[in-house]
Amino acid sequence: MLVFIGKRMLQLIPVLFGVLLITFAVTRFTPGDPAELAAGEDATQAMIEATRTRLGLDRSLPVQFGLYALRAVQGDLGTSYILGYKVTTLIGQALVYTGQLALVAMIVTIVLGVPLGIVSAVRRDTAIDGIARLVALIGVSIPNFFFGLLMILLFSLYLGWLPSFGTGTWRHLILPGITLGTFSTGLIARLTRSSMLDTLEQDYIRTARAKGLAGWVVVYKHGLRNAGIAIVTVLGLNLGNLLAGSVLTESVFSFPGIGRLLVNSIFNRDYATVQGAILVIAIIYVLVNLLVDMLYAVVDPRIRY
Amino acid sequence: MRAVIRSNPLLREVVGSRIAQLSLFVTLLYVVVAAFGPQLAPYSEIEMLTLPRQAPSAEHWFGTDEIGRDIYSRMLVSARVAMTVGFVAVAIGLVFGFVMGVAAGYFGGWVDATLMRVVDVLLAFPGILLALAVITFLGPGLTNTMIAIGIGGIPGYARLVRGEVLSVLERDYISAARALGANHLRVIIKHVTPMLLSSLLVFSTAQLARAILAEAGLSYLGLGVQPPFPSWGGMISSGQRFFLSAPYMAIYPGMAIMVLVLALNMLGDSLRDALNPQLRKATTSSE
Amino acid sequence: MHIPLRSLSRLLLASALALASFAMAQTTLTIGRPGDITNMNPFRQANNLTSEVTYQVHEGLVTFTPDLELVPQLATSWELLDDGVTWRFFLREGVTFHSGNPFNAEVVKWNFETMMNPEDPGVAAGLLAAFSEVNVVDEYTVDVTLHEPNVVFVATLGAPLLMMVDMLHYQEVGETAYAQQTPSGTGPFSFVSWNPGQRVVLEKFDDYWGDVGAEVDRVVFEVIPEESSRVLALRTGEVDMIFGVPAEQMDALEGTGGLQVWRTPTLRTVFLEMVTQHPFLTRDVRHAISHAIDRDQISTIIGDNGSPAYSHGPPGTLGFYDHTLPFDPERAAELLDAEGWTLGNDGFRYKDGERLSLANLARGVTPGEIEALQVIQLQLRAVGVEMTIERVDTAAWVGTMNDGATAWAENRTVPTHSMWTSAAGIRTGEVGYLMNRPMCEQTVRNWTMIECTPEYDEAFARSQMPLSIEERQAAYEVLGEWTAEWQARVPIFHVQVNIAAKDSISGFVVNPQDALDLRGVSVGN
Repeated sequence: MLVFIGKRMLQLIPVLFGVLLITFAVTRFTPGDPAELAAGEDATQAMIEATRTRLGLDRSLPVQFGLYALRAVQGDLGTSYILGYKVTTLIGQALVYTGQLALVAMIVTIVLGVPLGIVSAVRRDTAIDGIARLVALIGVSIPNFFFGLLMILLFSLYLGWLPSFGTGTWRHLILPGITLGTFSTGLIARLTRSSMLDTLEQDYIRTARAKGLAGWVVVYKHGLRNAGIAIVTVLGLNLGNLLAGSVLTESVFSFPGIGRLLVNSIFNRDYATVQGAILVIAIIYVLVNLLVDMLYAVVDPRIRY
Repeated sequence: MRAVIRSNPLLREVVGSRIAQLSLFVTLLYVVVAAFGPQLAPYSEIEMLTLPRQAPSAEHWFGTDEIGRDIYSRMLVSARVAMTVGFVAVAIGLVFGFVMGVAAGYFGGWVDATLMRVVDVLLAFPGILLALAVITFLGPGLTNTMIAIGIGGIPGYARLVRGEVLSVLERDYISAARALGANHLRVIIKHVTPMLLSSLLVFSTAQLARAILAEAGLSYLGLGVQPPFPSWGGMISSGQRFFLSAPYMAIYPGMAIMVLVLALNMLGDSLRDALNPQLRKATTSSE
Repeated sequence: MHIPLRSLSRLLLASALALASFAMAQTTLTIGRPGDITNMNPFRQANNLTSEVTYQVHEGLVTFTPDLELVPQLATSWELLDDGVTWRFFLREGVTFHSGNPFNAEVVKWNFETMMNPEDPGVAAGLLAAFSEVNVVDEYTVDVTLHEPNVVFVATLGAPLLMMVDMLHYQEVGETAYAQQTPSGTGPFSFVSWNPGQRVVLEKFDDYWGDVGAEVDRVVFEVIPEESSRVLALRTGEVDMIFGVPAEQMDALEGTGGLQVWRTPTLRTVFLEMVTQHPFLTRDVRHAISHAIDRDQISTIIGDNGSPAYSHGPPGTLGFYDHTLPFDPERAAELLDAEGWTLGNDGFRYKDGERLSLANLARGVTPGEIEALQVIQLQLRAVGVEMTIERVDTAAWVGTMNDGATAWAENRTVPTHSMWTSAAGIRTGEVGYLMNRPMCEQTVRNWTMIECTPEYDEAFARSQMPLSIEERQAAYEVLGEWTAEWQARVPIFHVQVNIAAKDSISGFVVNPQDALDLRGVSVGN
């Protein structure tokens, strides 16, 4: 077990190195002089030169990359030249909001997606299955920003039940949370259906059914448990999709999470923040993947790598 | 055409299913619109014609936009944007991913290790994120959108192809061919590639849907096709500003994306279901 | 623990009542706005969105009423001394800052000197260029001496620009902390918090000196960039008032029960501005672009968002001079041809393989702005000029222009940005407020990067002198002719301010000169 974890951790190193390289490229090969940006609006040429030296921008690219990586490893992602705040501060604040949103989306996914898939599998080839499959398919096909707009139209404008923007109370999380969870709900429903079908076709389940065990007991006891691993895996991996999906959802709802921070920073050419946000999302994603792999090994000792 | 369909078991099965027929029909309809959109459009997609935000009427089927352009015409022309970005992005992902996957799977060893680490790095950026990173340093625009989305598709193809190559290589006749000293390229082209075609077809259909959604997302954020040229995502974005008084400005383009992606996903499902027995056979025989 | 049910219910009732009375006592005015502040430091505030907020916390020496009358604020009276260049201000006594520090002549002197610091000029330095020195006469009297006679100097002080900053506090906490966390002024509201990109919260300042101060306990400025979301937020009651209502929504809101609207033509104008030092934007290309713009077409598209603009202010403003060029696409094409920009197959013009393509940096904060730009985009396209619209945040917008102008002023660095869209309002009743400042003695950044023009500078000085209206108008005409020749700042439309609020809001008056005043505004039931 420990060997496995150690091995996976080692594999992580080149990946994180590559991620750093890509985010480094985002700032270094974009138009605009980072030194001028960092030196600020009122900087004179001398101040810009001083900043260039201070930031190490007068050195060769490999050295610059080394310095960047070293700082990033120490948790220093620089300062946003637009807002004057530390990038880590901005990202930290935004992540709290996105985290809340992701949580709601995850709950929606589990509460809606899994039952939808189960019903679909158990009632295979009935009208219920047809409807459930269509709903799941729409979930993975509708652009989430468009779905968000439709939700605003219905629940904020026509019904007036929920706020359409901003933060503050749990009510503010509902529409963006559901919107963010649409895709993963569809995905999980489809996955649950197919893995349930696979399991239900296994001989021992047929045997259990033949023995007269009530249908639902079989479904829950055997079907779900065996489909469970696949579902949990996808749920785990899904966190990364939620982070990426937040880019669009948060734009629709003017929600101050990491997605909107990233998009605004791209527009404002605030490269320090762009780079930081992309780096942080990628690292979270990679770490969650690792965690899912480990859980896997713990839950199911048969799995060996 | 009929003969072709009858002679190919896959196509026969796909065409046989109602859902598959419907989704294939819808997809082809979009392809036709993409090809002839500008000719089909009753008005110019960028000229201002009339007063802004006119509700749908006989003259302007889907109404007019915020500066008086015909929404229906803009939507028809946008189909070409979506399809072009979709197909080119998928092609980029397919070509690079295929080469990487075949090389990794066929040669193994350090080639495999290196290429797969590259793939791991690309996979570390979930969803639209890699495209955003690429757009950040390439800048917005149609061409850059295709490149950005295409790069995002590479790792998926590389992994799929590598896995398939590995399973194909374990078959006796290919081992035999290699043992007999057949040249690499020959083995790859003659023996490996044909085995991959069906799974690539299924995967590409899903990738096309993904690419079209990504294009819509980037355009919605203002990072894709730049105004005055239309794109569904961009039309939703500007429609959002008039959502209270003229919801149709956003709803029609949104429906256009949804129906196309729905059709592609349904087509993908049908293809997969049709291929499933074959695929299953392929995997079991290699065990 | 055992609590009798009855006493428990009594306890609950009591706390519910306490909560209810607390909720009643606390009144909050929530305002939805299209954008955020850039900071809370009056020396560094760059735009109206920022000064709308800082002006609730800080105050100036004088101010304008909604009827455009100049009235006392922190100065009780002022007079021009016999030398003709020294203004004496008598200050209000017994005024304290939110920090508890006293307001006095020393503070006023420091504020002038900080704003006018030649090493690091503040935001109003260019507008107050006539300033020479400031001297303390006694604790509540200061003399401000000018370089030259200037009649609009005091009026300029009435704009939300030179606001009195708490000197001791500013020096103690430093510029950054002041700008982001702890501003301190004398205004009716004190600062509570700022979450960048989300909201600013202010609260009533109990020791305010004036008779009419804050009537609500809290003011919350919510950032709601989407126009539709803003309207929706008002309809659902999430906010009490919204700024920047899209024109097409006004009728609907007016007809909605429980809501009221304000439609006010303002002295605010949206301009298309060009960087004269950009390699593509030679004088003739700028003229061609100007000739290609059809204001009547723009007007039909933007509707109630505003009316066509031909000068820095609407007709009737002192110094009005039509400096636009007539709509004439053929003339535009001729000029471009003559400049060597030839039409390519794709309908755009090229020279040496380069497309005549210009990126317009727009914040999109003024309703109608983006629609007007899209129309202009097509009008320019008709003569072969590509204009892309780049949406940027206010901070980035200001940063780009400042950096470019500074680099050009110091090293003649060729700018990389070419064009932007601005919206600016007159705050002194005359167009001189918005016109390009004298350029030879560079005291402030010159965003359009026009070369030093002594004749212009001299006419500008004359337009600001205490002369007869006719003489000043004549000077303004010279300025107008130069402006027409440069075509660096092209007026597009005058903004109509559209505001909507719940019926329960009372005491609110729109000031056409961009000075938000929340004194006396109350939230009923």
